[in-house]
Amino acid sequence: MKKNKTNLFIGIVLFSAVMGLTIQGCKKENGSSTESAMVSNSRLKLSKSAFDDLYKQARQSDKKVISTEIKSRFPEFESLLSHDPAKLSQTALSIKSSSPLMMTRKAALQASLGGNLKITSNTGGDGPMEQTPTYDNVLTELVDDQSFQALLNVEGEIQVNNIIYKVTPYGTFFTDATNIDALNTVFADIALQNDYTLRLEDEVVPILMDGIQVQATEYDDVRKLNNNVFFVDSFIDDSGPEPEVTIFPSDAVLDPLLFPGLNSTNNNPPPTTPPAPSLPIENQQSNFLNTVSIGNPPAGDPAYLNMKEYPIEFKKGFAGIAQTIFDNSTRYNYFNNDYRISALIYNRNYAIIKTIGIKVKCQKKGWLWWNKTDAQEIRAGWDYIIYTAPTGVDKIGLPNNDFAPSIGQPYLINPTENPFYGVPMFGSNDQYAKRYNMYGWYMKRGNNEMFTISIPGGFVPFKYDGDVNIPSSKFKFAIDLGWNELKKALRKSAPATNSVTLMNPDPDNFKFPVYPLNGNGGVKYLSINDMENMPKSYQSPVSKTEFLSGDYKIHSIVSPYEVKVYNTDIIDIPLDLTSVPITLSTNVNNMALNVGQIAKSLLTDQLAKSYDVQAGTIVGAVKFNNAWRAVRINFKMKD
Amino acid sequence: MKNLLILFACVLCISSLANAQTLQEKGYFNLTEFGFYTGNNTSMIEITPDKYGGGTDGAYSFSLRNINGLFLTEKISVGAGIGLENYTHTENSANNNMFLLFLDARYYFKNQENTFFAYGDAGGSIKIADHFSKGPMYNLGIGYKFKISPKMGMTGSLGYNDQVIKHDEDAVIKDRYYGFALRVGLLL
Repeated sequence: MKKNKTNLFIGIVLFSAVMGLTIQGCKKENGSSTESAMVSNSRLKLSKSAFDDLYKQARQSDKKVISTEIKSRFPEFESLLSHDPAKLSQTALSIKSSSPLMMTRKAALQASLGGNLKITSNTGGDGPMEQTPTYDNVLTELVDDQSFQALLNVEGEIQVNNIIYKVTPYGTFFTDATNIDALNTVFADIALQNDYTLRLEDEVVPILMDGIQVQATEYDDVRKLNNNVFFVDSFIDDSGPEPEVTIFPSDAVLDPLLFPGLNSTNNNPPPTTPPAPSLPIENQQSNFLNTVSIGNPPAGDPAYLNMKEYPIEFKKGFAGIAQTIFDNSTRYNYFNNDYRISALIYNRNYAIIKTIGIKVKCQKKGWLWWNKTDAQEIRAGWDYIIYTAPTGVDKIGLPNNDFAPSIGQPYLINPTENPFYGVPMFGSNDQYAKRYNMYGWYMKRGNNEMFTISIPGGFVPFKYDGDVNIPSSKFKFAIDLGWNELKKALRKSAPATNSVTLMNPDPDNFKFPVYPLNGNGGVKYLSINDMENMPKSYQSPVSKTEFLSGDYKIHSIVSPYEVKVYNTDIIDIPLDLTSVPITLSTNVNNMALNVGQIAKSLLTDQLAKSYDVQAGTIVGAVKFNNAWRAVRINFKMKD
Repeated sequence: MKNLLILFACVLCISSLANAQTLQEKGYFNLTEFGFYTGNNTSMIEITPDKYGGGTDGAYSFSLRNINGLFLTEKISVGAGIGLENYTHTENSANNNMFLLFLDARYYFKNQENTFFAYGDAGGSIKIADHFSKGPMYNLGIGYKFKISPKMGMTGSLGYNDQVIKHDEDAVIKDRYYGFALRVGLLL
């Protein structure tokens, strides 16, 4: 009996020890988690996930709660939200004209600009300026998101991963944590030239950056300044400063480049009086891509060589509900008796909501049914998805417009600041018509931007009833070819490489002014790189007769798109009429793409109500055991 | 078609003879139903080994069915039925005539003269002539039965209707009607 008690005692002790170690282990885990959020040099130093978590928590709390929670978690941290207005921040002190930093930078800038430096009258104010708010007050006023304020220190700074962000009344500067001195130098140069109260009253005027090297980046709103310091004009109402274009190519230079056929038979210079066009001016410009010769596509992607192709028609209304409930729109291609790819284009009508999307799975045969199993690679996407809009879209204000208006907010991409200057259009005495340039269409759709061009090669990949009849390989090849042709034309239209441009002498980074054709909205600035990175769509023409009679629908095609994932079992891409988010697999860690890059908006708000997916071609492929199987589903909607 | 009508008339005749000896909801019963179906037809045809055609079309049909059976309990009946149904596509003139043979089971929720019931049919169509099609079918639904005289009742029902058409050509992978059927019946 005593021995049993002893064993029991030893057991309890061992249990306690194990529990203690476990709890200790858990505490250690918590401790390591806290290390991703700490205070360093008076600013919060967070991992990206810690920042996301903190910001999310802050968004869900009110001002007092945020302050209390931040203070309790980081006692030594003084946030911008709880900053004592009586105390000036170090940044405010540093931009006083008498500060050593400002005096140094003033001398340096004046030397580099040859005395042309325009210094703002308000750089923190050494003199009495009773009506002028302090730098700190302006910063607090401009950062109107209190949740974000709570995470910034009184200098407007935060470190996320290894990058320091400094929010200022001029905008946000960011750079590597080891490069903070360079950031402060660039900040001082800008503070010298710009009044920190500027954005309180004016959200349009560009921030002056004389003497600072400004380069475009892959992001529309991010500029690279001196010494790897990046800048975003956080409080401007428009995107990006306007380029200062001074040198334009002449017609004599452009003509033979853009219309080589005009003088290909001899070496004569381009004709001063071009031949009479076979098409009206507007068509001739749009026809630029239509005349691109497509030819035969190269050998196809091995992923899609072993493909089965199926049609699916989706009914609308009551019949659509019946189809949703009772029909199966999954299609298969078998590796063998035990493994297969299943591809599903679902168009569900649940009466209260409608969903549409794509699922591609790798499946293994089980006892009762087919189960998902990991594949080496899964691909899913579309060759094209055709949307239609009914009449009622504002007509673009082009004279004698033979083409129906495009979908979304259309813009004219014009290579220069001079409106209507562009690819020379022959056969018209109208100085404006002569300068029309129909390279493509920039569009604002929902929250995102798209770039739309006419389908190159003059072919239409679908019939007007929605039937598709062009192989994937040919369509993708044509689209790539058309875009490449367009790029060539744009590069030739960009100012010469030795000219002064604001961003970059590289033609691919030259920001072409893009004018709204229907008079709505301001001028946009897009480089070839911008367009390259934008989702693209392609538009089918509508005849003038159809347009005038109102008996037409506009077909807009979303560009080919493909998602690749590795070592997973499924891809699920819900298509939404306003966005195309992606939900990936049961094994998210293995995804090989940036989800943020995939979000797309397809429609303007105005059109969303009456805009419809009409048809499309969905493709899916699975690589299993080093073999590929693919399914292509041609779907269309029916009344 | 002539043969079919004769066959159908015989069935109705036998039914009415038998009916005179039976009581409703007890023992033998005879149910004659007229129905209307609306839904879709989905087809798939193999054009080449790697390419399929087909699509989805709207469809409707009218049907006449006669079921003879027994009440096993006060609430459960089983029976065997025959019927004619003509599926017609809404977008083209295609149609399929069906001669149906099927089993019918019904569950009446209450042992009352007027009550709701659930039913299920399973069977198929047989090819009795060139212009008739063959293939399995099933129906599931609910309805309401009410008496209109001591020995006669009426039924109204709404249910799901599923009919597969089997083709002799291997190229036709799928030919199927599905949708909803509304039926009214006379129960003797």
